[in-house]
Amino acid sequence: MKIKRNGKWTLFMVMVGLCLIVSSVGTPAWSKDKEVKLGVFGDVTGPIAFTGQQFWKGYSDYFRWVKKHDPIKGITVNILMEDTGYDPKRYLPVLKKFAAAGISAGYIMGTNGTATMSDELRRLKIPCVSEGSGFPPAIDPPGYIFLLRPLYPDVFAAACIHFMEQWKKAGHKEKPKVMTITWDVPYGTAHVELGNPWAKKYGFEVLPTQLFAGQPNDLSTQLLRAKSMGADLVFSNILEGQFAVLLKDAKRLGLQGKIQFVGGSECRGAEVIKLAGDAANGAWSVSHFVDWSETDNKGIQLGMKMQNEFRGGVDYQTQYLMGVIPARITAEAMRYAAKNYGPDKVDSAGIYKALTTMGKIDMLGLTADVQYSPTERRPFKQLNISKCEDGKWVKEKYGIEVPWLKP
Amino acid sequence: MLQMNNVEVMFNSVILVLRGVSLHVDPNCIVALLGANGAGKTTTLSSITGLIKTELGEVTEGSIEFEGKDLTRMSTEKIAQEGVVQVMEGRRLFAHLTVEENLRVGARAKKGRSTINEDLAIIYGYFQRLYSLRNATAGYCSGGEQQMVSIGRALMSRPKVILLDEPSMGLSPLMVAEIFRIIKAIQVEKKTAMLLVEQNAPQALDIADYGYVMENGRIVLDGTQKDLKENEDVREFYMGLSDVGKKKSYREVKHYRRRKRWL
Amino acid sequence: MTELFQAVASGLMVGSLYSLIGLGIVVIYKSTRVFNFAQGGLLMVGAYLAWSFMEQAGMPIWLGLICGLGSAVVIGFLIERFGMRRMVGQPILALIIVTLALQAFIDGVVTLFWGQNNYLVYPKFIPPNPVEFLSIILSLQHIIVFFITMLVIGLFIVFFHYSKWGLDMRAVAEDHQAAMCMGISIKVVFVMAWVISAVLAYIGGVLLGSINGVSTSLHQIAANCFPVVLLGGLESIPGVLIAGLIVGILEYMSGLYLDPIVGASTREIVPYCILVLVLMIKPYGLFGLERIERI
Repeated sequence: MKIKRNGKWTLFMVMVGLCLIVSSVGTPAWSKDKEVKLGVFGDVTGPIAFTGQQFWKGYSDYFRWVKKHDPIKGITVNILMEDTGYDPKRYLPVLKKFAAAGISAGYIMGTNGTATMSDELRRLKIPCVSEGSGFPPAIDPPGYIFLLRPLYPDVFAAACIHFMEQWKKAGHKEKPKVMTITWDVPYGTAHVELGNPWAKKYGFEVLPTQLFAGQPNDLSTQLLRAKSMGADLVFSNILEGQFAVLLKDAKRLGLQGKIQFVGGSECRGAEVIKLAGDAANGAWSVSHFVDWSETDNKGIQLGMKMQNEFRGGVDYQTQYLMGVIPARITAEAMRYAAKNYGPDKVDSAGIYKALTTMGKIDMLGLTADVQYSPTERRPFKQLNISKCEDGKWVKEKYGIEVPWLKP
Repeated sequence: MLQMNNVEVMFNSVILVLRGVSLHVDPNCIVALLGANGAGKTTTLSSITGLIKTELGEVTEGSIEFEGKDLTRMSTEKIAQEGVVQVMEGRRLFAHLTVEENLRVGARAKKGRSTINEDLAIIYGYFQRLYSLRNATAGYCSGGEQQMVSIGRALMSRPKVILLDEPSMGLSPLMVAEIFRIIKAIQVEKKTAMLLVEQNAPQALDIADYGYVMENGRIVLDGTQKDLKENEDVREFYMGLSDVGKKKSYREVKHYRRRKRWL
Repeated sequence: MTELFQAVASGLMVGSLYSLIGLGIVVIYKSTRVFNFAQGGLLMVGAYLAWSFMEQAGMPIWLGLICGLGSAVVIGFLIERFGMRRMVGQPILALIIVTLALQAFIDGVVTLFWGQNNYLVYPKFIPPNPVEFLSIILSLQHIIVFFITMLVIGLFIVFFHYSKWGLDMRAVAEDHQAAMCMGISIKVVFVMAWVISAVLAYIGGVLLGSINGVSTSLHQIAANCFPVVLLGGLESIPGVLIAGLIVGILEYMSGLYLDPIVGASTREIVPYCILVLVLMIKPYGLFGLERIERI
């Protein structure tokens, strides 16, 4: 009996000891820096898992880099990440958890997250940078969502503008025909409503949109309709795996070279080339960042250095770069806030104020310079188009000015 | 050859169904096990072949031996391979298989060299009707035909003991007579021992060499065919016979019941 | 007209995969009465394993495929031995929930081991060259996939109907107790069912992976197989074969004719709509085994 009680007491003491150790680790008494918590709504599983994992790698690596080589004076950054699985039901509980933990800013990886959380973020007043540009009400009126690129209609518009230029250069007189073949989710169809009327006005003949669901195995029917309707330009706001299937089937049906295929920014990845092989040649992708092939670019050089240092080699995942961009924006805003308002003021209000008033953020050339304002949550007007050539994404045309379509 | 010594069987660890059953089956003889509904006849058979385990039952006392081997620890399929095959109540054919496929399944319990074709010929010899039905779906055969398949299926593995559970159930008297004739013929020609569970006592005692009477999970009476046929209780309660002209009174029935309980 | 033919051809290819994967579900259901929700997971893990053997272990293609097959056998065995056998005698719902848990488990394991390398590509062992045939353009890959699945299903049917073990499986499917009385080991049959199912899933996974690359979205195809299996009648092997092809073709036809009218992707709904219609007319599915009851 006595021994048993002793055992219990020992256990109790050990628990108390553990609690003490854990709590002391949680709040380092020796550090004078203010701790700033950032929350990442990580879609690292679910339908966009691959993309989300790359985002996370880029985002977290950039903060490791900052900590090691270019620390922000007076603050230490602590990044929290929770898996949200691209599942609308999971964002709000995670946000609640993050808010309780006291995050000062966040990073959202997709349209689902933007759409479900924009109202709650306004209420909590936590600024979040977001990849999800498919939900205009989040920025209208301007709230706490800061987009990393113009809305998807502009992505579509960039493709149309560049294609029209080429079309006219080739001496065609008739109207080009544009068709959307896309994934049947809000992200995939986000550009249709605004983009189609704009394209019509811009001089395109707009063909009916073709949709598919999930991970397709064969897109012949959609492509055959594009063929029979005589589409010249096919735009798809889809993921890499899906774009690869589209391109492969297009090659099989003999459409490669006859129709210009354009994907959104998630299509500009090494995986497309790996999966589709030759079939990817000639395809375009519209995005806001530059390609790995631009080795003179400071941002690309940084990306390579980061990958060499933290990942043991460069794997040329474009979405890794996309993850670096929000990290850079957040880090620069915190740096500005720490410098101008003092390290103690680097909280959600301080970061929000910095983001809306600091002016241009130097993106090292990864994208055009980012500038938010009290009334604007879109970062810039320029988009880049890359082309797939011999197993590589290369510059087709950078800095296309888009019309900033907005409902 | 097959022996049950004071076997108790419990289901779900609470319901005691067999309360100490002892019986033995000698080689090459037919043993009848008689009794009313719920007396525990089927459970007796299932405890021999181990099927009670699939119904959450277990042998809690006593032993079941076959040729010196303890059957209580063996799995059903092992027991079948040892040569103890049960023909389950209600025929239990593989309904969507053909008649011949059903018979072929029966041969799976046979150890050693395959003799399927010989055995099929033998079975079609006993049950000539099955030959013409051999490619028919078993589920659509008539009750009597199904019973034939069921017995034939058990014979395919050349078992040493067949445990027959109510072969006469749901059959016309003519068919019952036919089935019992064949059962006897099999025993005589193939030297197969049988443990025959029946409600139809007159028919069973006609072909059996020895018999047991069960009631409430106990053996209450046993004896040779002749003894049992002459036993007045058996005649009265299991065979529906009584001495001609003698008046049956309710008191006697009660007396019998009382006596059996007391046993 | 070309569009129609193309839709039918594409539908046949995808449908044959549905049949193959559905067959795995049917085999398990037939002998163990368990509806295996983890078939998609088995498929995915098989595809990943084959990739690992070929690319990470650097084996030649044929050896990698055989090793993958071997590990599928082992996985099927382990699932039965350590997952399902312990559950024998438990309510059937519990067993089905176990398969759901298994699916989640496999998902986790795959993410754990291969999650970082999504979209894996096999060495090219089926050439993707286009083949033109009566104005339909098919990829050689698709044709080969179709014939391999048909061959595998054919082999399985021969095994099931003409071999000794096939007879055991069919007997167990009908009546567990009676089969035991006939000297058939139910445990062996259960193991056999799981192993066969895992192998079918593995073949499906490799074929699917060879077309579109291996990724964690592979298991989604199993969701399309559930209506196929029910449509075919849950227990019928010809049923699942034909239902798979029907669903495959109808999916593409609906993509062709229905989508423009509806203005949304109907592909994922159509199989379920057909299922409801068929079950209203034929409650046992197209080729389901009716319970034989003599009155």
